[in-house]
Amino acid sequence: MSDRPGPPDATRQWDSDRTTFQRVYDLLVGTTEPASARQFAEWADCSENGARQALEQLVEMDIADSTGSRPALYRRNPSYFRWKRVETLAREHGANTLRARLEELISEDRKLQEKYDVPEPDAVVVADEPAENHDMLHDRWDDLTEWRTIRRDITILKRAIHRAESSKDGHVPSKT
Amino acid sequence: MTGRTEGPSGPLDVSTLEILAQRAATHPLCLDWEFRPDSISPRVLEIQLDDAQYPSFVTAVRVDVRWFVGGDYTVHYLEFRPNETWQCRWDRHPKPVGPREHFHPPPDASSDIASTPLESDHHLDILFELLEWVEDRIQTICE
Repeated sequence: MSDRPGPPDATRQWDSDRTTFQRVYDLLVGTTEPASARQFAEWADCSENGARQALEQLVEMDIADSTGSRPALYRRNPSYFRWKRVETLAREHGANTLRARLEELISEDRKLQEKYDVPEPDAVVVADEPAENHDMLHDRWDDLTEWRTIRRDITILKRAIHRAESSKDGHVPSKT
Repeated sequence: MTGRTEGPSGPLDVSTLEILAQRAATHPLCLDWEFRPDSISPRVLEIQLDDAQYPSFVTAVRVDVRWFVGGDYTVHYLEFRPNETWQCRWDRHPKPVGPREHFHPPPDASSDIASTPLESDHHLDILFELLEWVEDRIQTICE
């Protein structure tokens, strides 16, 4: 996959369909560790200056975080993406639907607490035993990532329910 | 990815999966996508590929993508046939020995790990490499 001449078709299509700003945005969304404008330029196949302008604009919109160091490093602003998800959930689902799903998540969380006999995923002792087979490790990794997802979503859903209830009829108005 | 954490994997990264779904949707190989079990608290992004581009014994083709905060992932390719599922999987997750990135080869995504991971370092490149791999796969299976 690596020694092919030029980028694959899907990359070329992305390059031609999306503007520099849109490509930098697409990349920023998946960037949780700080990266330089030069790195973004390389990923987005644009000039470093073009990447920096897009990133500075995204910082202004509160979508990106900047370290303010030299050179500045950028990553997505996690609170913006949490807020966006809360708003989407509150808008697309009523408070009752969200509450029912929240109950399911709380019950799944309880089952994982019982299975591992600890209160939270980070308290599970992971032995670095090379003898453990891959399937077993993979199953436990599945459980732990699912548990972290459940924990995060419980917080998000509580906020979305609150948001939906704070509007008159239990629904957040659609975007205009 | 630059400075990517080598600690435990984070929760499912729904925002990144949405971007992957939207960019996959513009590709001619992709028919549709959805979050399972639902869009309220997803566990996996299912991308339906166009089985019309495959020989008739392949009844459906799907890619299941899970992407986690911090950059770990599983990308699971499934080709459904009347009596079996031809499948393989690319993973990036913590392991006490061996590379964090590894490949579970076809036809059954065996637990015998092979060292041919997707080599890209960001989410979209992994999607594009995967789509390119699917194009090669269609050529091979149609020969």
